[in-house]
Amino acid sequence: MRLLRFILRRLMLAVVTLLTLFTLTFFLMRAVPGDPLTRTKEIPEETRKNLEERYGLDKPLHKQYLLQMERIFIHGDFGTSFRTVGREVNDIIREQFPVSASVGLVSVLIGVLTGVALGIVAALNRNGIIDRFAMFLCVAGISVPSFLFAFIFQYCLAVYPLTVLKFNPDTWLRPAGWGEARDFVMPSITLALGIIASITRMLKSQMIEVGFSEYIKTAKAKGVSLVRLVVLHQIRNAILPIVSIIFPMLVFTMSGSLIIEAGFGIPGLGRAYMTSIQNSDYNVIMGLTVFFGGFLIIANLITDILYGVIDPRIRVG
Amino acid sequence: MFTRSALGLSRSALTTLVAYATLTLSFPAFAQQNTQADRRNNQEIFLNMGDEPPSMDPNKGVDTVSYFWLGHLFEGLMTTDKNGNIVPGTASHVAVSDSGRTYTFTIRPNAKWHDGKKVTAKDFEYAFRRLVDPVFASEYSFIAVTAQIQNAAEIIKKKKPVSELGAKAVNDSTFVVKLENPVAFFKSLMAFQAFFPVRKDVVEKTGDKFATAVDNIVGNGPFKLVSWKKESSMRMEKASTYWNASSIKLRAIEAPVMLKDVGAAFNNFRTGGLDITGLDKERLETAQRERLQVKTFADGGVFFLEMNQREGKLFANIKLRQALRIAISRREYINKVTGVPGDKPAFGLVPDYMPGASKTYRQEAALSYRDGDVAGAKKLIKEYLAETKQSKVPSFSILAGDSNNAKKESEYMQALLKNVFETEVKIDSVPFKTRLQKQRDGQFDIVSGGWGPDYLDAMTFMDLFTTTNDNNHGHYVSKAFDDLIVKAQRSGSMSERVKLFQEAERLLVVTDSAIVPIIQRGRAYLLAEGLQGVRRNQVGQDPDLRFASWNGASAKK
Repeated sequence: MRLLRFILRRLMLAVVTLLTLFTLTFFLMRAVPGDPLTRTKEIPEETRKNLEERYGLDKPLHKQYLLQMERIFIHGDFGTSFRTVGREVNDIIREQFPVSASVGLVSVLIGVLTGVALGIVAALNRNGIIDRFAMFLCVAGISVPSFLFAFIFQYCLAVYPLTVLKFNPDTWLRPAGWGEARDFVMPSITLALGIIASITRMLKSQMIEVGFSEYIKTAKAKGVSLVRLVVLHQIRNAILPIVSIIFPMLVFTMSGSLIIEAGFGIPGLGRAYMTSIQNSDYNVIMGLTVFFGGFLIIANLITDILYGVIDPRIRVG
Repeated sequence: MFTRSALGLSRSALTTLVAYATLTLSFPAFAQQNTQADRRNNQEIFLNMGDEPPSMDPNKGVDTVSYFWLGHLFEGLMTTDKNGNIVPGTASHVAVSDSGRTYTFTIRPNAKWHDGKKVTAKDFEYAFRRLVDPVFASEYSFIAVTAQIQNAAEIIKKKKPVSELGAKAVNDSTFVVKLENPVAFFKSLMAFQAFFPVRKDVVEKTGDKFATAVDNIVGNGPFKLVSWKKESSMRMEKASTYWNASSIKLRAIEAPVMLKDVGAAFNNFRTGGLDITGLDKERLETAQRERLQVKTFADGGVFFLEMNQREGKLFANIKLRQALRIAISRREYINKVTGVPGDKPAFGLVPDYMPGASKTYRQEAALSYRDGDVAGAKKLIKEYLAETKQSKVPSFSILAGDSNNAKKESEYMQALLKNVFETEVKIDSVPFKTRLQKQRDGQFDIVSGGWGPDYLDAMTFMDLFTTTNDNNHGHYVSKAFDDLIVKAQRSGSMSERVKLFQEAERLLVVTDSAIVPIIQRGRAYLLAEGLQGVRRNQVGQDPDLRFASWNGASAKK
């Protein structure tokens, strides 16, 4: 009952947040110089008038605001792109979100699994060779921009094997492309690097911190076996903060990375978002912003609930 | 393997995604087979167009990516041959009246749409009316005014109904276009996308969804669209319905990826995943070292400085504008700043490829002057200072974009102008749309502008700087210039027009120095060995692959 009330309250709050997001986006977009019809080649005045009428841009601002609000929040219709003729924003989301999401999901999966493994080993094996390797990876993963990694992977994993080693282009990785299973490999690894870096660092320091705590000392004194001690006591407690960052991380990664999508030719949402901003494509910017907002709010809600399940001390409501 | 994937599918959407990804990841052997050697044997071309086409509706497309596809999928009354000459297309014959104001086109009896229906004069009538329909609001409607089709301007302004357009289907095979004035390049206009035929039944059936997917695009050109994955890939194949299908050697043209990133496209090219793709100067050296075939062409664009001549603005002064024109060394600018092979200096506004009466316009109307003349420029500035009784030129700013290239260009100009004008020169570096808004509002001293041709006639550049043109950002006002342009608009004689344009161009660039032309833009691209007949155009579909084919003899590598 308490959980249900909690969820309901959060959902109501979500609507208010989304409306605020909508309002801010609506007016900020229009405060930026230029509109969807601002082109390198000026559109003749009469044509511009005709176009404004067609797209409803000739209506007073408050009317446009209310109309768009009604369309989005009552009919669930984000409208049509100004740039790509006939392209509905709902279709953009329906077709391009799963692409970004699948790449994001695979990279988070790779990132979290590798990060957790590395973090544990590095903590148990401080200053060992794996620890040193892990720490190098952490620094690189955080400080090196992902387009550089994309470039390095493209060269080392595709261009070099294909052109110098003469691997079979039918089966080996291609530098950029989309539509086949192999196209997941390089973008996911590139995206995963940052995730590996942050998870490894965080888990390692948590593991060490937990290692010094009173209850670990007690368990050691009681003569608990090393495996039991590490798995049931140390890892279980150290991993808690990781859970709280995984969900927002997942949401962030699933919403698409412009650099990865542009660099590997992936038809995802990150790319659509960037194009829409460059073209002041009002409907697409608004649609994607509200969509991402809603997605983030729901993800946060789930994180809060999950947190309570894992750590009984935290109770929602 | 199948049982495993079936298991995954029965779970929630989340597990499906994971199962799909992990399962397929471990079996890359499923990858589709298509190497460059296969493409040679099958006469297929893979190319990167960089982006999704914003509009596949011929009446709406205004960008080069859309034009590339449309130019292969459709064909106008006229078309171009493999040398770029204007020849009859869907019309087999065109008769021009003595006044030069009436064009009668006869549609080929064997011209067919991709679904087998006959192309009729009605399809053209529908498309021409749709282009100027104010409710439809095509961004390209002005081209009908340029073509001087009777009543086009009034229809766009909603002063006359669409049915009054001077373009009518007399019967299924006869299409008559009436003009307000003779237009010397009218036939060449009839080869361009905005005047392609459009099927009324398809538009009415699909409504707002027209031309947004494979099954609602029906063309009449040499190729037929067979696949379109949004933001990902597109493919067209030779259309057997095309009246001149025997002249088409290619079986298919495909954009297997839509890569905005030049580096990624370069990697795909060098691993055999693409046969044509653009090249930037950063990768030029690598391409040459790897002995890839690098080609260059003029992409049609001309870049120039526009000076704000509104009252009270610094560059309202003619001497300062003239100083600017002669101070810049165009050669040095290309060598030091742009560095793209194929870039050429621009002394006039009209680029070198523009046709004239019998040769090119530039061959018939030469224009050159000494540039890089800092001493001469300083002399003019001294005169300006004496006339205005000032000791120093007031500081001014250059409005520029915020891309890396734009920054490099404006920094070069800043250093040069600081030296020449001996005053402070600032750079106002802003995002793309902000720059457009500012130049439109006249909030600048100098802005770097550019123009790409809409059609193959000098007018596409020359009418930009008439008093009322919206693209005249610097507000150049000259009655003499306007008169010359109007005369050229009304003249049906190409040789007379060349003379008028020459006079107007001299006035604009030399005498008044209202703009300072700098470069004619070139582009480099990579072309696979053995691929022949690829034509690069400044107007219309680019690249034009209708006459391309793989040369069987050199199918090695």
